[in-house]
Amino acid sequence: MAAGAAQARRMLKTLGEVARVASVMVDGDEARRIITERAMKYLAAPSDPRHRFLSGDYYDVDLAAFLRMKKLLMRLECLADFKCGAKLWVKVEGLADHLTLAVQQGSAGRYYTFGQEKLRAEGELAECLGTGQVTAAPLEHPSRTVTVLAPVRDSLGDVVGLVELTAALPAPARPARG
Amino acid sequence: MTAGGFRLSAAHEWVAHDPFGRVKPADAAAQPEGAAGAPGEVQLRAARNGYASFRVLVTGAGEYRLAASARCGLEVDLFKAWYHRMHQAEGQPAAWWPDALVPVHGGAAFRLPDPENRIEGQTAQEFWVDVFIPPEAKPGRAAGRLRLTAGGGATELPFSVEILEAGLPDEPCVQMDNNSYGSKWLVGLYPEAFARAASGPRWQARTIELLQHHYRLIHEHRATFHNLGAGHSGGFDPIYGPRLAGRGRELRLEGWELFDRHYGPLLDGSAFRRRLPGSPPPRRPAAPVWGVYTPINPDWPASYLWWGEPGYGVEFTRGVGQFDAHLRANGWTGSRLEFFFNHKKRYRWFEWDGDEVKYAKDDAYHLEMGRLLKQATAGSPVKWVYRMDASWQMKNQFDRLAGSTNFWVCGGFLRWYPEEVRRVLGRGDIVWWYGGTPSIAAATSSILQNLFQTWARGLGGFCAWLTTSPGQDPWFDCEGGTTAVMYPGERFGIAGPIPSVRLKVQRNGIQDVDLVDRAARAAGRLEEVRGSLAQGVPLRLWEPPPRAALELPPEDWDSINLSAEHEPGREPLPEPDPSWWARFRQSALAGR
Repeated sequence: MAAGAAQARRMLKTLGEVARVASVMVDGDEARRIITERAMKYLAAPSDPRHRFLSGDYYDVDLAAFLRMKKLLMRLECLADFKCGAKLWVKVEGLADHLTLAVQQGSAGRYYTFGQEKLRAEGELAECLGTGQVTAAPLEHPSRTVTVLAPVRDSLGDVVGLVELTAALPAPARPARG
Repeated sequence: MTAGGFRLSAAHEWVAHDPFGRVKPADAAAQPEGAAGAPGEVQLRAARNGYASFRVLVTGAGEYRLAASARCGLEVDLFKAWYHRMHQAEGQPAAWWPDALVPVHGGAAFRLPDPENRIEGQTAQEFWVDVFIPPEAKPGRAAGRLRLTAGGGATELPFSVEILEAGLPDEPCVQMDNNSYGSKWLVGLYPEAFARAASGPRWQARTIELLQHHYRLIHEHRATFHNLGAGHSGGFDPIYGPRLAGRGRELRLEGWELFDRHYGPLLDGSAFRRRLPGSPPPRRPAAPVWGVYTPINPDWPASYLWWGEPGYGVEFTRGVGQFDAHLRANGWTGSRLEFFFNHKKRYRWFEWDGDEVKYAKDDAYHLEMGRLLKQATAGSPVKWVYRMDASWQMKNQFDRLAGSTNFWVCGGFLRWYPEEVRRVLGRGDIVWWYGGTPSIAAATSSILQNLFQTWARGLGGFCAWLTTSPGQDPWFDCEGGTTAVMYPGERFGIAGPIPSVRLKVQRNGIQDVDLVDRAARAAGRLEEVRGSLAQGVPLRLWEPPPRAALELPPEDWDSINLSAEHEPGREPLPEPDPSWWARFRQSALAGR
């Protein structure tokens, strides 16, 4: 148990360092340009149960901006000496307190569920957006992940999104027999 | 004919009964000829190297035994139907319909009501009877019987098969494909198999074994199975591909053991010589699987970090070249190796749609990938194909990606483009379409609609987009089974998948198509016969596109302005007479 906790603390520290780099390197104006205006409009609109793929069907991005951000997330990921995922979340324009994923790298993540289009920013997500500080998510979580959030600022200094850095905790060691 | 109060009666393969002996309402209007003639008599006609089927209904109460036998080398398989309790909306009466088929062996003991199926007051049990006519069987009439024993008495249901001179080809003329994604679902369906194999080599061994069982089951039912390894992120389990070592000019593929164990028997066909657990021996000859997905994706074997830079092409051609060399070295050149991108931009891993491209600008990525694939595999005897699952942009892509994409799996919008599809087929591309699977509650013959539309349109195949996901509780709270045509056998002590009524009805339909197709081709009348059979079927093969599709670019289409769904299984099926296939079968058995 003690070894597991030490491991988690070490991973948390590493992700915290990566998050600090991310908060400097990720350009908020570029982040906001990734999702097209039309796609954002459909994301902000209430979901229509009769046409549940509508927003997905209109989802589109600025190809060059996305690719630059994807490569940056891939490089950030390499700063950790263990496998982690890096995801850029941006505020949904026109829908207060909601985030949508703009770019993701790797499969580890704490908040994204497959096909999810937006989520309400609560808990540590709201804290990161509100304080503009690197924020560690609680370690106790059913996903058994370590997560640190890095705020993303634009040229006006406004926090427009965040980078989620998540790694899976190693499986607990099996108790010795006898 | 009764024994201990039990009664045996026969029913056509397209007519299902509930656990009280009542015909399923959706099948009630069916008046098929042939299978069940006069009461107590079953007359079948069948080609050699194929199956003929019917249902047997046991009614009564208490314990009984049931066995089947036949003469003249015919082989008879018996399956007990499971009655799925359908999901019940508030205020609706309970309903049970048969679909999963549990293989049973000669003289097995049963009870009515069936304690496993837990249906209060159950008075009837359906069994499915498959009669296999070996290729060497002598044409003529052969007899068989079902024998029920109970309470010291016995009753029999005789059947006869008119064995035709015609024999079915080993390979079907259309591919009815059953798709699946990844392997995590196996853990949920086979908890016992994975109880002590949660990870590591045991997990890998169990997973490979179970996946191969799925390929076996589907192969025996004259169809194909596909299992996609790479997820939208580009990651995949090591059973789907080797490891990467080095980078750039030094990139290497290493550690082929798991890939070889997984795919080797599929690619050389030896997997199909092995018996599926609990099932009859394989009858369809072993052959390399029609095709398999590869793990190649935008981030493997080349790192996406280098996309657009010289390093990407270097890593791609080195990695794919080594993949190709490994296949050649093993002689795995009989199957199609599918270069396929499943990711969608809406899931945010990549900026372009690999699957169902919505925006024309994304085709540039496909063209570049096609160029790299050609460069990496030039002159190879491996049957590489560039597969594109196309929907919104298919009409434009047929031209834009000509010479690059050569395997099209098209959504339902294909019905708007008969001329374009003919042109693509004419240049030698493979064209399939995709869709869903009818519900268990629908008319039994509904499963044949996709098959008919495939053949009558002249397409090479149909991909049912998901066929291994029977739902949270398929046994007692069934949502309709529209994403499954097979079920886990663990509940019945079988360490592999078991078939369904729908899968067997489809197999019999494929046999019919093969007979009609071969006879029509031999007579040089294929188009004429297609047209003639289509005329009698109330299914539309082609239709004009809606106004929005003519006036707007695909980028601006949606399900509202098109009044059409592009997602499989979202549009209601037509409801023709439940015996609508009878004319097709008559043609098949008449050899015309």
